[in-house]
Amino acid sequence: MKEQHVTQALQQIAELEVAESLDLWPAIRSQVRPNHRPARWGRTEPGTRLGWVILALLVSLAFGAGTYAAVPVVARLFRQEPVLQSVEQADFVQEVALSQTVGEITITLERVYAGADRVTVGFTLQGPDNRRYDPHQLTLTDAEGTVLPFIHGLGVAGHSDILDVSLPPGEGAYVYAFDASALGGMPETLDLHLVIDVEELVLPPAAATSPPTPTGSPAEPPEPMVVELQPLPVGAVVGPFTFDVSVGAGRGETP
Amino acid sequence: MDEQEAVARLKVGDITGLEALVRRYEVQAVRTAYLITRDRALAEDIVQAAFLRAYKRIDQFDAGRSFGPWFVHSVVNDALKSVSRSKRQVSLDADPEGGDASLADFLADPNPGPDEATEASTLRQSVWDALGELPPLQRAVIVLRYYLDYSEAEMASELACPPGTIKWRLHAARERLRRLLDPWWPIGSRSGRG
Repeated sequence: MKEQHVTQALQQIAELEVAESLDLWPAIRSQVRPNHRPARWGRTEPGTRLGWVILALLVSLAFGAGTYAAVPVVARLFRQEPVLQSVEQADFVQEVALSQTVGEITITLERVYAGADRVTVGFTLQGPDNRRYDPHQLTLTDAEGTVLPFIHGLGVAGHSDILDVSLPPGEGAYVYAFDASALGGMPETLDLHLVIDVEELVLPPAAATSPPTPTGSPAEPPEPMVVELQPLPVGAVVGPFTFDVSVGAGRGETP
Repeated sequence: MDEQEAVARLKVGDITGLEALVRRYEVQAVRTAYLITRDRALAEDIVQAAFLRAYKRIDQFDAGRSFGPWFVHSVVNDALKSVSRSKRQVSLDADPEGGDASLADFLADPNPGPDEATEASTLRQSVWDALGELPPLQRAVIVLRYYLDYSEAEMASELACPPGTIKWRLHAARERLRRLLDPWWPIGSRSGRG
């Protein structure tokens, strides 16, 4: 048998099951209002709004001097994770640099670390200057389709005194950790499939434009602030952004 | 109405553009989703949802791109997510339509005649069984390669995946398929494109 026979068999199977006369339009049409797009997409699966706490306050709009590229920011976020500090130093983190663009949004998967019990991914998000997008839903699976449960995420957008970074408008950097214990042991090479959806956050005018008011004298640096943000109203969901990456696993055992 | 015009109409909220896109891609999309999920009803749900999502997000779609591959990509990803969630396998005796016909009936030739026809129906059943044994991602790669005739470069581009990963995954899927389809496809044979 040649591979062309596989092709023929697949075509026949598909044609036998799904006829050319298939007509989905009536069902689709019944869910669409003419010349009006629904404001909110009804999810086909339960939303998993992560509600992670942003460590660094993202309010300042002083992007004049001292802006930093987003790539080093991902590395700095990695170092916020105590368990990653040693593996970072031991050079177990794999630099990836995969980009995907959907509409006006570009996500770049920068680095991945696969340890004995967790997988951590770091990525940047670039969108329009006048809008704020944040990760909405992330799904990480292996080649077998096993879902790695989400543990927690960190992110930064705008200015952060704690991390000593200032990102340009529309940019963000994020690190997410997933539980790899479900894999039952790390293979030498781990194939990962990451799917990301992002959503637009509708920032209140005050939060979007007002930097924090300095409380000290001009000579004193402002106190760093950490604010736990409540969920903001959401707008459009963009995606999916899909990444497939193979990483050398198990080399960096978490301490 | 060509695809570009359909997308342009949809971008201004004219659902005749959506209808044109649905008519153009619904059959291929449902067939693709079906080969991955092995569930006809689920495949239709996935494709309907994908069209509605495209309708909602059309303002974010780059009109310079071709809609078809972008849409198929979305359908394949949704199909993979559905398979991962459900972990269901459609038995050859399962009846997705609720009637008396089973999938085996579809696969079998109702009029067994010449040996070639019988062999073809048996091959279809073997391929269907083997496809069900593959992990979802390998199944998807086989469907993209052999059903949709994507090149490895196209798969890498559409799935935002390094070409090396695609090549490795396709190789692994092929080898597993060979073992499952032996003696149809004896191990050690290297026919077809590499």
